Amino acid sequence: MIEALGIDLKELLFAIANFLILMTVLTKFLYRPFLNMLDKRKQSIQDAFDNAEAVNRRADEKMNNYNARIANVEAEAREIIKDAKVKADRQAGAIISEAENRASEMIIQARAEIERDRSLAMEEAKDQIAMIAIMAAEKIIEKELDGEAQTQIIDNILEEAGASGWQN
Amino acid sequence: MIKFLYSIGMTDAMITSSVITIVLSAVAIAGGRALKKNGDVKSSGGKLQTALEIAVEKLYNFFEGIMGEYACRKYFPLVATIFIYILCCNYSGLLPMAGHFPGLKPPTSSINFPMGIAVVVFFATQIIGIREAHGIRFFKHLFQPVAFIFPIMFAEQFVRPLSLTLRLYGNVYGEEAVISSFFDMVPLLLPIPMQVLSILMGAVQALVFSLLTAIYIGEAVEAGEHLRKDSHH
Repeated sequence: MIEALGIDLKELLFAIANFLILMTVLTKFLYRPFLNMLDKRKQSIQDAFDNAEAVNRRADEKMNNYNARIANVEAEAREIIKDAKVKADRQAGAIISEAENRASEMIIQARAEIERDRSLAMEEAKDQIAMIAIMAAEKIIEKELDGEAQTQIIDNILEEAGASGWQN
Repeated sequence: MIKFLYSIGMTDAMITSSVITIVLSAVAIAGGRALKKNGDVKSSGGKLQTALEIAVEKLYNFFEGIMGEYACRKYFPLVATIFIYILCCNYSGLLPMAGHFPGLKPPTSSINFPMGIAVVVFFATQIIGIREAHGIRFFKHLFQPVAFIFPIMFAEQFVRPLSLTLRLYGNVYGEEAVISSFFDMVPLLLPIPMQVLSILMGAVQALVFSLLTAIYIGEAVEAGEHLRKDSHH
């Protein structure tokens, strides 16, 4: 039966040897170098992907940094503006109060001056009125008094006048 | 030349197989050289290099899907060589005058070549199993999941190479016989449909043989790994 099927030990052994030799050669020259190369290529593609991812991540980080910094800057600007406003308000207040002070000072001065002018005028008026009164009195008594008595009379009149409150 | 080869006991199938081996080796060596020369991952090599690159990658991905990553990484050369070798052997029958020209006969149409590869697969499966199980505890898998199926499991180990042999041999031999008798009847036109069919058949048989081998090896690796882990508990 074995012969009928054509089984032949010599050919069988040749087939086995042939196959093993072919497998060895193909492994050495075909499979191993090519699979290694494909592995390397896969690895390099993977590396490129990883690299791109890392670069993206770094860019995102930078972007976030910048955004945070911009937000900071905005907050700072707001703070500065607020400070400036407060300072300006304070300054304005100071200027206004100073101006008020000065104005009131000026008013006081002016009042004092007016008071002074008025008292001066009053003095003058007093003298003139006295003279007029003396002249009137001279006319009335029709006689001349000596200087001392004249002054006495004037003072008396003035005192009386003062007591009667005419100045007011 | 042929007479000399016959005189030292070479048969037609042996001569064709040798020629196939030499051609495949030459292609592989040329491709390997081209790859080594071009080296760099990015530079594209010649047409040969690119073709081999695509072929190896496709084959690898195909077998990886069947055997799993680990088994494929380790035992890819065996299954890939089976596929390439059987494919070339089957297609050698499509060459003009195959079976009539002295020294040209598809090796797979002689029972010894399919049988030789099946024997290699048989031993390879056992050796790989033992290697993965770290010892002869690999043969425990014949008693799993239940011990009484041992006779079936045991018989299966021997039925596998037998079925591998007969399937490939029967298909190629039968097809060669049909083409040959068609050729004898009407040498023109009539063998053509049969030859077209045999293009398909040659690829299918190469695929089936290497696919079954991949399944057997994948199983052996899995069983070996399983038994190794069990023994550690």
